[in-house]
Amino acid sequence: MNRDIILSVIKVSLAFGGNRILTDVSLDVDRGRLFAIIGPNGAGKTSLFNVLTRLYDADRGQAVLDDANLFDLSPTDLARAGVMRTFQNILVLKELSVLDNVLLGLHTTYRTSLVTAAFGTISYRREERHRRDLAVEALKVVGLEAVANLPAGSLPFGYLRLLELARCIVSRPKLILLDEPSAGMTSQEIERLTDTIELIRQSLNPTILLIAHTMKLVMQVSDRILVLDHGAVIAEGVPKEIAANQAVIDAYLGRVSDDAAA
Amino acid sequence: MTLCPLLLGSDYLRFVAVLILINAIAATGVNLSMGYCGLVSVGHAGFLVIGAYVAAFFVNHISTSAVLAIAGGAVAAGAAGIVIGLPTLRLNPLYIAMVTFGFGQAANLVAVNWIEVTGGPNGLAVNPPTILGFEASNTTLYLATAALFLASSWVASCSGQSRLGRAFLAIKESEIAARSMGIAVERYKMIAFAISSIMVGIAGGLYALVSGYVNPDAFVFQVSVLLVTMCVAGGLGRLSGPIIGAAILTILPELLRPFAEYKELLSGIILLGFLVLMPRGLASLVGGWIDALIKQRPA
Amino acid sequence: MIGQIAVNSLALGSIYALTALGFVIIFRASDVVNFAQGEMMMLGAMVGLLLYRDVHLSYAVAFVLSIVLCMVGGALVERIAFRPLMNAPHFTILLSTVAIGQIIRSGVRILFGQEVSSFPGVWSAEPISFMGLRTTALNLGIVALTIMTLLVFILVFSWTRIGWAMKATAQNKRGAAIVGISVSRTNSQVWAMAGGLAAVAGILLAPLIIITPDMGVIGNKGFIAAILGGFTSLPGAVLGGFVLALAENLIGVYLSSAFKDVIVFVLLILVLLVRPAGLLGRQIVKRV
Repeated sequence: MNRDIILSVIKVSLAFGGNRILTDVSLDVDRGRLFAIIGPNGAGKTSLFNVLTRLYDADRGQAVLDDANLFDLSPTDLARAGVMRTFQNILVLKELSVLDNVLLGLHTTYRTSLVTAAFGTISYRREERHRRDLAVEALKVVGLEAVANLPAGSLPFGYLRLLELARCIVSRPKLILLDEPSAGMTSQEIERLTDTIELIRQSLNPTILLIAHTMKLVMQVSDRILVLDHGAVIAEGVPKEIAANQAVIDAYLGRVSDDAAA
Repeated sequence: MTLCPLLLGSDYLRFVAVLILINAIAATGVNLSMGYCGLVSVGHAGFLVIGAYVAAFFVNHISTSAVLAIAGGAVAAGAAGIVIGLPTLRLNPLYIAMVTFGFGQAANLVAVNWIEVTGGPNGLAVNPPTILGFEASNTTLYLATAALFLASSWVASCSGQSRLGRAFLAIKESEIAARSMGIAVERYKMIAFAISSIMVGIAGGLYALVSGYVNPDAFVFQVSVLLVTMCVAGGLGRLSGPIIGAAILTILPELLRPFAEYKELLSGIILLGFLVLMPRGLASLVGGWIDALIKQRPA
Repeated sequence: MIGQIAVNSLALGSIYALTALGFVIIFRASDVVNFAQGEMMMLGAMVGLLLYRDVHLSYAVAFVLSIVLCMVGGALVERIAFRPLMNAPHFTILLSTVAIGQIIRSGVRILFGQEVSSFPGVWSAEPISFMGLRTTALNLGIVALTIMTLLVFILVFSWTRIGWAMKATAQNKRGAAIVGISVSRTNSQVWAMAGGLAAVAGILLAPLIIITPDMGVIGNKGFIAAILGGFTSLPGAVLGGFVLALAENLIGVYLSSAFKDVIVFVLLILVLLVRPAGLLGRQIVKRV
């Protein structure tokens, strides 16, 4: 069967000093699907994201994004290439308003020059108004349009994750990397998050890579799951296969539990 | 409101008013690079030096046109800003603080020692400039200063609210987040620094033309610290902050003339006080209404 | 000729080295540049002057007392400028050290006026010759005391619990805290040490120049030396100090004496363009 692969990761390895963080990690991600990456703490999941988003340089291996060599890009090129991510420890700008945070996600989509921005020309204002509308739309998808003008620093924790999500999707990227979006959320918030992810998939049809510890969320939304342990792939497949996989169960036994309950 | 001081009869008060405007232009520039983008500079007085002496040079030797003089000062200051910023801004943010400190010292040293050009410690008299061919009176100079103040505030206001300002604020808070949004961090830092050096250069040029005299004492290290204090006390990263700070920290020393000794001490205490007790500055107290006055759109 | 210039640079290089070292240890421990370091140096010279000239203590006692007082001063600055702002953005802390420097400088100016004095000679400034090179007992004394200070510093840093704690917190604050090291107490100690280094630098510098409240501007040279050395490396800071002094003197002799500081600044920009890591520095990598 012909698979439409948007991202191909080939034998990526990474070590810091003596520590092997990732060893020969490979995966093929189908376009428009949600690929979950799970594994015990320290398995290398966020490090894999960091390699893919070019914050780390892999020691060995390749990654191909739609025929382009991903490792040729710098971290700044990714947004323009249609790749957006959220962060495990939430990098929302507390000083800016909620809406301004989302507008940051549209930074690369502006056509008018910086000079027009500095002088407030009419062409810039027109484009800014349009971008604002897009930002409000994104806030509606995550349910935060009511707090658009509040400073982001005043939002409670769960809302900050949703804000990061809105910032991530507003430019309609083709590949989204979500790093533990459910961490620290109450079960109610996680339900809301699950619905939001469904909504995003319906309206934008992006490809999603998801790191999560919450099994309920993972089983519910994933098309395929990759399991990492100590930097190596120990299993890959559809949720049903993974749930029954003995190696996976062993890796998790006694180390990480469902943290759906806050 | 900016034009009210023209109605004041006293020459002295008008001079103070002009000084407030000039300081406000400089502080607005410093606010853009420091308050918005987080680039600490402890040597912006160096750009005042360049702006002032280049403007003086233009008026004395090239052409009496005030516009040309100030433009010359601004371009020279901007060029210096780019030369300093290019190697330094891509490094650890502490480097720009140290390098600008050195720059301020170096600029002052040049002003003191290059006697043939700068007149050395005794300074330089500045010929009366002309605007559009007519010799500039005090009133016209005031109007020109006011015009430049409004222009720089306009640019700061538009930049601050646009994707440029958002990018600056993102860089200040988290460079990693900024990069992940596709913001070319080094380029934007350079833009912020260049704009600020140009604005401060304009302020320096205006100072030279308005006071008719430049000497190195006006540009010592304390002046760099004073510019920073204006921004901190007024409110970093806000449109009205540098203006409030400039007003207060220009009037205060004038009120304290008899206690000139204590000026330096007081300004240091004020800086420390605001940093520890009120880091958001006075603008946070006065709230959004001044910002709304300046913003051209409804909030 | 160059040999003579090199010998002439030793004394000044020693002082630059001590100043640079003070900056780098604070940077390594607290991730901050202490802009009040120059003023601490000035205080060291002032206190030393007062104790030696006015209170008539012996040079050695005045020296040591000044160091002690400046160590207290350094810890105080940490308490006032750094600790309350520990969670504030870096530039706030930096600016608060600038503010404190200004307060100290203006305070001294108010109390003692603009020009204070020259430091009465302890060693003679008579020229000594050996191997065809000339120097003075004063210069030799400065270098000797600097070497002693550096040795003491190395001993403390490598062999005592304090030094070990400093190294740990410099590498990884959270890890250090988990192991039971008091980060705030280590910070205090580092700043106190930097104050002590500044005092030594100030007292050693005192006989060479006139003591004024603005003496602290030599901190600028300390920055340049530390940057030349790579800013993350302690031996680099010391090396940078001597390299800077040598470069300055070479420029002063062969190019221009009046503008040598300006030329040095231009050189700094060039160094940052070409080799920002300096002589012995490493690039710092940020983790997400």
